[in-house]
Amino acid sequence: MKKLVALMCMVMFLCVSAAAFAADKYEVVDVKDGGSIKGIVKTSGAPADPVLDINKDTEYCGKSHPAGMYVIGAGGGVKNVIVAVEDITKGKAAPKTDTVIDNHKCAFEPLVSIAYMGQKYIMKNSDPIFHNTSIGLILAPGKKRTVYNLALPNKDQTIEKPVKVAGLESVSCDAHSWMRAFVYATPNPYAAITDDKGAFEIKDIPAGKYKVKFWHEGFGEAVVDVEVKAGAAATLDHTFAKK
Amino acid sequence: MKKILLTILLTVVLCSAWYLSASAEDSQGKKLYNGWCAQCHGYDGDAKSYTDKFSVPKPRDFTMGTYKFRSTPSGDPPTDADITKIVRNGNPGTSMPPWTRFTDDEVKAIVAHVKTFAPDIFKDAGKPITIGTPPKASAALIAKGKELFNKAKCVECHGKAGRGNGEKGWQENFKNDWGDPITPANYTHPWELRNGSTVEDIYRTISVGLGGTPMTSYMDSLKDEDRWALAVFIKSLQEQRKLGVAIKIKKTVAIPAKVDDPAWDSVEYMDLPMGGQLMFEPRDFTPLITNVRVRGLYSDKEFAIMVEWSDKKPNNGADGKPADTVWIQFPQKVTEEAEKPYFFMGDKKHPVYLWNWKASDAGKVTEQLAKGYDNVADLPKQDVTVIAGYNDGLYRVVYKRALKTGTKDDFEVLPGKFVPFSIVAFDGQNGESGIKGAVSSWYYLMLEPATPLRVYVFPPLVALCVFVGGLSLSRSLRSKK
Repeated sequence: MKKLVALMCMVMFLCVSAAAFAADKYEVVDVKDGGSIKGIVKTSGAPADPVLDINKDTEYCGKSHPAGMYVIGAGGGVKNVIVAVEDITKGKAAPKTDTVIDNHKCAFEPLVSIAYMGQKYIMKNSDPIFHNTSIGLILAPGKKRTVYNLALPNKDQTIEKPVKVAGLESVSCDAHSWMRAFVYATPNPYAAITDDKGAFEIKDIPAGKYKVKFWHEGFGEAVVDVEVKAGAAATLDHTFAKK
Repeated sequence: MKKILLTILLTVVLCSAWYLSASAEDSQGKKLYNGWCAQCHGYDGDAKSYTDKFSVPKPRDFTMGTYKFRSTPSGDPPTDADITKIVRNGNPGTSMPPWTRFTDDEVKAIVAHVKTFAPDIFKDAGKPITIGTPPKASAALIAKGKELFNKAKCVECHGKAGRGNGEKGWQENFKNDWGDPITPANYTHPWELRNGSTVEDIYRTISVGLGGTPMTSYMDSLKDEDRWALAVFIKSLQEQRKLGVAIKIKKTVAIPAKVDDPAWDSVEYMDLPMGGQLMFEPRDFTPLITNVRVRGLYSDKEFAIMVEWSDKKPNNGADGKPADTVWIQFPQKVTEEAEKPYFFMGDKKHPVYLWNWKASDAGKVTEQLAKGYDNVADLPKQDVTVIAGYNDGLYRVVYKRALKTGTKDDFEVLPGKFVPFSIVAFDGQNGESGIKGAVSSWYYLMLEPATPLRVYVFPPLVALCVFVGGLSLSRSLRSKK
């Protein structure tokens, strides 16, 4: 009897763990006649872009720095919004693109980027001063799990590391508290960042119903349902409420 | 028969979920963890526990998946050996004790259970870095390490002398992954280095960093030999504590007029380990001043005591935090009897004098009489003077008083007599003030009796006599031949 219970337990456990694993797993398939999602992310009103106070290395970094948090185009389009189809389990292969995070003029460039699992982070210091690049998976407000924390004491130093952890990650430099950036590390290729006009397009999506996540540093997060039809473009505009 | 089997099968299917958790509960690791670890680290590994308010650093929250002490590169999880090391050796200076009561199998089970709180980070095992043989420390290697200390910008956080007072270490974002404020390590206090203080430990910390803290990994940016040179230099900054029960105070012609007078550096000192004041509310469960160094000098008329301690961030009361403060306590009546006043602010029968110095009024000392923690009065007398300074992470406060004051009831300091004293110190940055601070127990100071002149006169005189006597004897013997 005990053996039977143990066996059943084993089977149950394997099923549960297999299910959990599958949700995290992305399967590459040939996408024929895929659809796309395109749209514009806007806001009904954004606050003024904050000015960051600089209090270290001021002779090189200057005394202040525009945050670049609220970059609003004509018509209210919001730049630097991460748009991601998170619940997609199969589709085309992710591009073989590495993600560069450059410490340049006491700020990270770019401010918001996408990293593809299995590819590389290329961390670079273009400044003649010390920076460290600390990438952390955001767990909760004020809490993160450090993914990498690497010293870049010299100019033109470059360190490459594999992208191993998926999710929204913060980038910080402990030597300069105003420096920050965000990376969305994705296991699939279906993620984009809005341009100056707030526009984005995600292509070659297998037909189906998906949840699309919008994330912005200042406006926060929104999840919207969308149906993608074969060979067609689904329009998905989103408006962040006034802040 | 089939019916019975079917019933059994159904029961099993329905109950399997329950059994799953029940069988997990029965695992040895979980049982041991719940019995011995969960009180601080939480039953769910989330450090929600009884002790999180009373310990700095806080008990580790395992659900976050960040491990501070690793032998693996940044980005890799710790090895089982890394976690085992902390369980076995504890973490000195924290609330984590060494666990020797468990067998190796039991520790293995506990480690396995701890890993289940953040299973995703342990998907791939971490590979420890290779730590070779440390190079032999030499003046040249230390000099090279010092140069790298500046070049690699270690100095920006850890400060020139390595006391953790570098300006970059004091920014609002200086927090660990758990969101708690953190400060750069003070290298001069090896007992505060949680990741170990041997040259290998330092090399490892420089190489892989400290997980979840601003201490970054230099493995990709500095060559192996450079990291060793740095480690050797940092090791050379460590101070060894000189512990004792009494400090001898030597006589001098003139007591130095400045705190940074080089004459002080050659004066014999004694280190006093400090602990939090835990007797009365508000208690200090999390003191940051771990050591106070004391030394003294006296002249014909006066004696001086220097109190010296590390403070990564000085506070003079102007920034909204309490001012840094130090008291030296003396019994009102100095006797050589065994009974001393209560070690913290005396008691009704045995009052103590407090020489109270505050960084907010650094040129002044307030003399007080305490008959217990709740009975303190400022004294009108002003027999004590003070000079104080803060330099590169180090406070120095020098108290000076006449050997014998004219004030009634004041104690006299006589050469050869032991005088009990103790220290209470407050770190404003840590929110310490009032009676919430770090305390020492009673120690003694003694003015070393000056060597009488006859010590210098008689022995050479005797030696001379013997020599002359011997010479004349040998001559007289020779002449007789």
